[in-house]
Amino acid sequence: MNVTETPDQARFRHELRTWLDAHVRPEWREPGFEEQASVALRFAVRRKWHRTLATGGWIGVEWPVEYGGRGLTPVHGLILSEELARARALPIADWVGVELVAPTLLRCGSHEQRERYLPGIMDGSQVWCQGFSEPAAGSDLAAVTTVATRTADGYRISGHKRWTSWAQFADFALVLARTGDPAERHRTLSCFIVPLGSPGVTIEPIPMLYGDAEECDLHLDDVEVPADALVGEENKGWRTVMTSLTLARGSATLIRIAALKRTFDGLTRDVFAPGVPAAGLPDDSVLRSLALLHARLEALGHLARRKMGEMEDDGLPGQIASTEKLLWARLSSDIARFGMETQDLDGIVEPDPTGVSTGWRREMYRAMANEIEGGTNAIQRTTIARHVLKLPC
Amino acid sequence: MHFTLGSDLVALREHALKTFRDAAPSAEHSLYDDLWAAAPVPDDDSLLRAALIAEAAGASCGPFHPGERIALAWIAARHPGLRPVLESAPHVLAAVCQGTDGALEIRRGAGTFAVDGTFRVLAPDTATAGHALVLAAHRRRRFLVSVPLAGRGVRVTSSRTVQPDRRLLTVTLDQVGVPEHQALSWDAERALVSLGQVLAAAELLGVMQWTLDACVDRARSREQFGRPIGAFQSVAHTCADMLCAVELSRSMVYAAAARHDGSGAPEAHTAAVTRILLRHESLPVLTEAVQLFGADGLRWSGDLHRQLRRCQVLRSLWGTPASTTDDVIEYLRGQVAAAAAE
Repeated sequence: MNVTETPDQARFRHELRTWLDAHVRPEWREPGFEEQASVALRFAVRRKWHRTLATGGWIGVEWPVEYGGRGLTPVHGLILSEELARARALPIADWVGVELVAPTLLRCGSHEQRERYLPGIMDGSQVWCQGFSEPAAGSDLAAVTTVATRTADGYRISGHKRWTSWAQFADFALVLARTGDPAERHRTLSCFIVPLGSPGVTIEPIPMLYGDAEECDLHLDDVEVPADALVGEENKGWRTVMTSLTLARGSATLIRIAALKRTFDGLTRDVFAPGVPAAGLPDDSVLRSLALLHARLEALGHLARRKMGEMEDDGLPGQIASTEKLLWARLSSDIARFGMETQDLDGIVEPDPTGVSTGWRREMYRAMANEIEGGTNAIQRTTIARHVLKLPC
Repeated sequence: MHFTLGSDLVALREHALKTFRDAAPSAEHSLYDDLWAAAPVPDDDSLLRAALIAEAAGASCGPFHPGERIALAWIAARHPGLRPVLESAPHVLAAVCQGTDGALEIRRGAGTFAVDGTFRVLAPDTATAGHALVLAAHRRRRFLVSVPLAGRGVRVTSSRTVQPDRRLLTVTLDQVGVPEHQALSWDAERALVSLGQVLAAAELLGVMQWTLDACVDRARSREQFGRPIGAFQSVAHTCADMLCAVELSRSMVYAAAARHDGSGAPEAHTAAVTRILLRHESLPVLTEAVQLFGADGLRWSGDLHRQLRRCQVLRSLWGTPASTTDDVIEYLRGQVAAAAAE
């Protein structure tokens, strides 16, 4: 265990920091910058930022050189996440493509699929979404009912996917579909690349509690895809999806923690506004809670780094990763609720006539989503109990 | 940078755990004595090794108190002038209970210091501790002073603690004379308390891991309603929450111990954060474990209540909770001010 950077890592950080100082826009650091934009505008700004990062060589730094990456280590990925957070840079538009689809194609896809799709993911010209969940297959993902039937040229896919984030702006979806007897559950699932411009694809945004519609329903009605749209082997899609989710967890939480750090910084700015004398601070119990939130956030960052160390050792995150999502979701919820508690009647004012929530109320609503998406808290606990602690539940 | 333990450190933790479980007192000393044999240098793993030994002690469920022993060894290594004093008689360390707030007043006389005031210290129940090493102040200078725990001008009130092998002594000194060579200038009281906070947190981590392991064993083996209790979601989820608490705590403890100030002591803010986190995360693991064990968790003959008591004591050491919180709040205010200045 060594927390001191190597000269190479320090050079990488310095180079990145210098680049970010020149490219991150000052207005991004203003509180609520993104809240004030529509979903479409938010996506457009994030996509532009994605392309800027790609031009600088900061997308896919861990990908192999032969696919346009820099062949660097997970620790370089960690430094990238830390510096993006420090600079208060915006998220990129195609998070799903970069963090979920690309690592999946690199591990499970064919050479042709990598050559065809990775360049578009890297430069931001093609955007991806994830088509896993369905109305009746959320926590129980192996209950997927979307069906892929073999045709002369490939597959015909029909079904209804739900919670496909940013699908209205995406070019492709990674879709989990049934290719055999449903009674066989996860043993008859396969994974497909579906172009969203195909005939039979319909996308409907779903307005959410916080007023936005980043999530979508994705309807697939007899959508034809070629045989080479299959990722990995037929009926081995469960393994592909699990790999995909595991790899996504590898770096996703670093990005999430960085965002949570920005939220927490906003909280401390509210509580310790410059010029407020010590006598004007909240009472001791509030300050104790704040110090504890800070401690949990610091520890979560260190937990994410331990996980990156495991990935460097073994290629995949180990048992620590299973705790990370649950700890992050609970902490994001606690920070948002703390923020709400610091407000009085102003906290119930809805300034946007379209119903889009802002400020701490938006954070609280978003945090509630954090405790559901990617596996509810209850599912996370069951997964830990069954697969890590080997309990007979 | 690499954020997982190397095989040598994992082996050290296993060796320490075996040593504590075998309960050989001489072997226990060998673990501590080697730690600071060479002066720490920046980037070495001396503090991390100390923390792993403390963790092993907590996981051993035995009557060991490595934090205080390791801190005394650290003081002796840092201040060779104190070594003869410490070697001349067994000492207990008052900073464990004093934190940084409770320095005694001392006055200089002819070749001696006169010490006045009251302090508290934890002492082993099995033997009478001869001396205590206390933090003291003379004008603006700080000292570590070896004071006797019996004799003229010394009044000691002894209280049982929740840990049967330790007593809490309240010691009042009334113009107790101390030879000058037993009072040495000391500018590292904050570093000492930070070291103690991280070592206590590491020991708490060991206690938490022991408790989790015991609960998982119980959940797999104990049957009710015709199946293992771990098959019930409420029990399974409780164990999952415990694992989250353990891994979050482990991440903080290892991070705090992986870097030191060049003397072997951790960075003060990180130590305070570590203490706050472990103080919060540890006790619920123990109390939930008692629930999971049912009435068996309340048996005097079982180990669970011993670990619960150990947890209660460790959470109380190395400064008041309020002073630790104040340190962190000051840090956060400083961060906001720095950001505003930018």
